[in-house]
Amino acid sequence: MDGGTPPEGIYSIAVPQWCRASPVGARERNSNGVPVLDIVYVLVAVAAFAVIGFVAWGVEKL
Amino acid sequence: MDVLFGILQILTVAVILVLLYRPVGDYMARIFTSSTDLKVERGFYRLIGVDSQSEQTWRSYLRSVLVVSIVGVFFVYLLQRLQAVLPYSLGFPAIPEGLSFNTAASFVTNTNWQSYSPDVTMGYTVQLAGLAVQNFVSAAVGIAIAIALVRGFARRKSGTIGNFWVDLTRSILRLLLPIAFVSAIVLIIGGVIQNFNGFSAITGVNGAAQSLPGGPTASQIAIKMLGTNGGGFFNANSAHPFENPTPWTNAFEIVLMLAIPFSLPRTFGQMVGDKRQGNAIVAVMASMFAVSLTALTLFETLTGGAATRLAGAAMEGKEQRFGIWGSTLFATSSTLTSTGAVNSMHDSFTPLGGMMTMFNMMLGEIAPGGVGSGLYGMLILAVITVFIAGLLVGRTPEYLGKKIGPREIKLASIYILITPTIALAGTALSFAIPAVNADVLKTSIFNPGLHGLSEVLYAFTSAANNNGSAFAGLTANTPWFNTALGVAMLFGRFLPIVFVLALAGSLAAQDKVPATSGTLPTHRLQFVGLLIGVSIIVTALTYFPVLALGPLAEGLH
Repeated sequence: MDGGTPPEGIYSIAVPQWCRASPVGARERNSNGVPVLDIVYVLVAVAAFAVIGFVAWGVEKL
Repeated sequence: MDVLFGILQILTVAVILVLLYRPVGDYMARIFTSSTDLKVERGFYRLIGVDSQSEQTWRSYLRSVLVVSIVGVFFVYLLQRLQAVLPYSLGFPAIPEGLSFNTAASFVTNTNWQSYSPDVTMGYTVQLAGLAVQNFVSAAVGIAIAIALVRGFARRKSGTIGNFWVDLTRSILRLLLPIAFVSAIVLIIGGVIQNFNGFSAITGVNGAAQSLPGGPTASQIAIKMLGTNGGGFFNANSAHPFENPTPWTNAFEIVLMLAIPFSLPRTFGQMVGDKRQGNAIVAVMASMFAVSLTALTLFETLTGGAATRLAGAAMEGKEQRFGIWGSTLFATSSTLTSTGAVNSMHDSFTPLGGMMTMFNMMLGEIAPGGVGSGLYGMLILAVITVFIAGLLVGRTPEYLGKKIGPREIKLASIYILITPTIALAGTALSFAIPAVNADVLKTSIFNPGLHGLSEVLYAFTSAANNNGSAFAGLTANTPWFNTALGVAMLFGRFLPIVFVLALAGSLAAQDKVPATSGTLPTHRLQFVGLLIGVSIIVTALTYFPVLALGPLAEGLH
């Protein structure tokens, strides 16, 4: 890798420049302006797999 | 000339697939029936504490599938969130939360839906350690599930359906990795780039300064197509000249997409001890593929508005170097498998052409379908078909000597209902929840009206079927779509797998009943026709109302 970096124009459209300093970037906001946290998506993933696990448990009753 | 070139291209691909059917199918059968482990495999089993000679019940097999997938989701999520501090990140910041979740769910489920432009979002570490690894693992999971179901048909009075860790490891090390390695070299020879150059500043022929992205593309594209993943290294996917430079690399990528899914029926025939059964399944897949390809090509050449007819074909959104035929063959292959890669923009297809790509996914991607998922989807439909045939003539339904009783038909029926439920419910909720509806109309839908509904329907159909292609007019990088599509992908992948493995366990536990004069022969043309009919009728009945509201209404407008 020669250390080439993305063109500023493309890059700055998607993400504000100040985000670069943060290892996890800007806090995402929903349409009401409420910030969305990592824990929200971790819980969504946990809930989705919990539903799948519950269905797998229920299949035995069929 | 275009027609001649198009037909020659289709024939070339077809001949190569026919030539691959036996050797690849037989090789896969040997992989999954061999009792010996390679040295590298033994080392891996020791590392993860697995006894390769032990077998798993369907529940234990499912637990292993879920463990690998849960770990995958969280690992890929974490990699993206920490991108800014990882090496080889090209200076890109961390991926936002919603997009990280969506992408993690997408790549672990073999969907590879991308709500972002990869070349200006993902650094090399995330691409290679996160996304490319999941390209291999998710494809291998699909193959493992299909093999487990085949064992269910093949075994008698068995409480087990194989060892997931062995199936996963062998799929990757003996099948995907070697073919992907050779394919990557072929792609490099064809002009696909493979470097770690980051961005290079160049001056174009018009004197303007440009910044060209580089990257380890060929290695990613090989498994992207072979594993029916579909996630591109560049935003334009296989329409980008760095990913798919020439008509022959286009044909090569199509062959890669179709090689394993079209050969797995042979593996099935080998493992159940009756090759004719595999031939019947592949005949169903090939017939449906041929009809779909013909319809899409006709819609793109003969329909559309005045501009289309004046130009001779609908070339908007298509690459000149591939033309109509190279685009429709690729689109049919991509949406009838779970690949979702594109070399033309499906959103720019004629309304009826766009509907065909959607209908391909709605079929459940079974002709030939994703690696593994296509075969198990088709075998579930075969179970439904023998049940319906049994009802028609009063025979006790049985398939390959296994009785299709109440439990088996319940499992198969629920399997069939899961994906449409997710696709249609997701689409409906996008418009029915007032806050979401306002956001979708304001932010996401580029073309309001009938086509706007098609864009949202396409997104949820693609996610629920783990395809990953998109009508690009939809802006999907929003909290609603990132979350809802992410959940749709997880449910669309793993809920059906629950029922497939439960069915495999149920079938494996049975003894085989001998064929009698009352047994429906499932290797003959009659069954092939019946299975095609059932597949299409089930899909048409499920989706016709929403297709009528979207692409059909638009096409007939």
